[in-house]
Amino acid sequence: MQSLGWDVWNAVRPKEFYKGFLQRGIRPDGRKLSEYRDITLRKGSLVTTVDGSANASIGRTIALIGIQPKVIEWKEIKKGDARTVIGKHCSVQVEFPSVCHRETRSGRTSEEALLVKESLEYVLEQILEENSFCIVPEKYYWHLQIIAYCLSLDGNAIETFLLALYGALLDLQLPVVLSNTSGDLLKLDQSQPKVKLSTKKLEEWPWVVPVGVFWTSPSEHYVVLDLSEEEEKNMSSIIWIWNNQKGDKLALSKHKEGQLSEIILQEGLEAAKAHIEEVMLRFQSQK
Amino acid sequence: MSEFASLGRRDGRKAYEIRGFRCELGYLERADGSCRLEQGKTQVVAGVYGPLEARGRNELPDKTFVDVSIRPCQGYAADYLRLRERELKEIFVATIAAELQPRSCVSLVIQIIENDGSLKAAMINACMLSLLSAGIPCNWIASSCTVSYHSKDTFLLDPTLVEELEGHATAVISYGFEGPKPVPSHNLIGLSCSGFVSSKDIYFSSLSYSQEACKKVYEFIQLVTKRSQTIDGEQLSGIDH
Repeated sequence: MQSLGWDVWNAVRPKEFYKGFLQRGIRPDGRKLSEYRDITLRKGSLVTTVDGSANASIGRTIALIGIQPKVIEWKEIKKGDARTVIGKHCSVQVEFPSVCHRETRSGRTSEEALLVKESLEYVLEQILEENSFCIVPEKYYWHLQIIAYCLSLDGNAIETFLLALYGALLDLQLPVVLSNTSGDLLKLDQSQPKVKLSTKKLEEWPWVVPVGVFWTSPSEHYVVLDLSEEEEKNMSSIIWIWNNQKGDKLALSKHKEGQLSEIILQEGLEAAKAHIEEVMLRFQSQK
Repeated sequence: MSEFASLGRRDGRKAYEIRGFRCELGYLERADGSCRLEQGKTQVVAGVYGPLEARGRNELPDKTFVDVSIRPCQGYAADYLRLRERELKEIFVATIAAELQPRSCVSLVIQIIENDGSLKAAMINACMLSLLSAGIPCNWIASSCTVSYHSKDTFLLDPTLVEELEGHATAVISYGFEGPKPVPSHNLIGLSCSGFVSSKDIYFSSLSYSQEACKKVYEFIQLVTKRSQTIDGEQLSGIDH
């Protein structure tokens, strides 16, 4: 087919166009059905105003996360209305500024941003430990302000954000803070080296794999990983599969309007398992 | 399963038992279809307005536009409700036979009266009943059920608020039953989970239990529509009142 034919066919009948590729086990950009685009993660030294930052990209989707620790007083924590234990010690703000995509408008927080924020909050609940935030018991605690921006959106935003969040948490270094005997005054101790935040072990950190299901008929469906934005529009449903290396932190949620069956869920889980294994091994080797 | 089977839940139900339903169709006089649903103490009122004329951006040339709005029992609608609205919208966009009435709009409004656990499932069930009350054509009958996962590999169906808070994860699972295009094997239409479940086997076994529970809800919905038909035929349309 000449390239003009491709564009016309894709514009007029995008699902048929896409189906033709899937039936041959490949996608329009040449990737196999379970192949990921290039994944990169750059920790630290990017954003100098915060103590922990990371920039992650999967294909053309780019996310930037900065973590700024602040000291907060016990009475402010008690006043707050956070619903979870970790929620008292972290605040997450996710933004999709208009620079990330030509259809995004600035102003009201988009639903996608709210979805990412809720997911990141659940994840933080699982990986952070409450006692690592304490400076002076019942008086002063650390509070992490986590700010996440999507700089470019081309599908699979949640995984990119999660990658950036993990990178930023591994990069985060808290300064050592000393208090006087009564615990009222705090002093920053610049002479001691900064310490890392203590978290649960890497095998327990959950990962998300958005799995796309392209459903053509009750007997024919395809399971596709790492969807670009165009592919997301063609999918009948997208399942977010959360799991960790050990396999004991599972959660499934479905997006878009397609119908599913248990067989499709099982297939999605199998496809996701290999990818989660690979990603967590890369994290462990980096650390 | 074993712990709760022997000890029993606070209200005496078994682990896989759902609470009783009470429902009143045509509760809102001005709406095209409406329903007040009680699932135990959880109470929800849903109203359907449509098919209306779709305006501006909402006008889709080949489909019906579905709009969902959830009002909490106190205060203004917070961000997390906007996410629930989106999840409900996805389920009902698939449920409503959208191609039959293009350029129209169906508006679902849900008012939470009381929350005693399983709120999202109650909202989905109430919306389905009010769609039937309004006579809007649907592809299937959607019904939903909540599962709450607790420690020691146990899970409970249709948890109360206290049971939900005690668990470490809650999943809301929706199935679609019967209809003009039945695909019995592929009837899972809604899946969401807050928190993490400790193993794949527990998750899949809870899926099969929740399918049984959703079937019971479907039977209840069938019973309600049959009763409405025999008692008073006009009640079904809900237009004149």
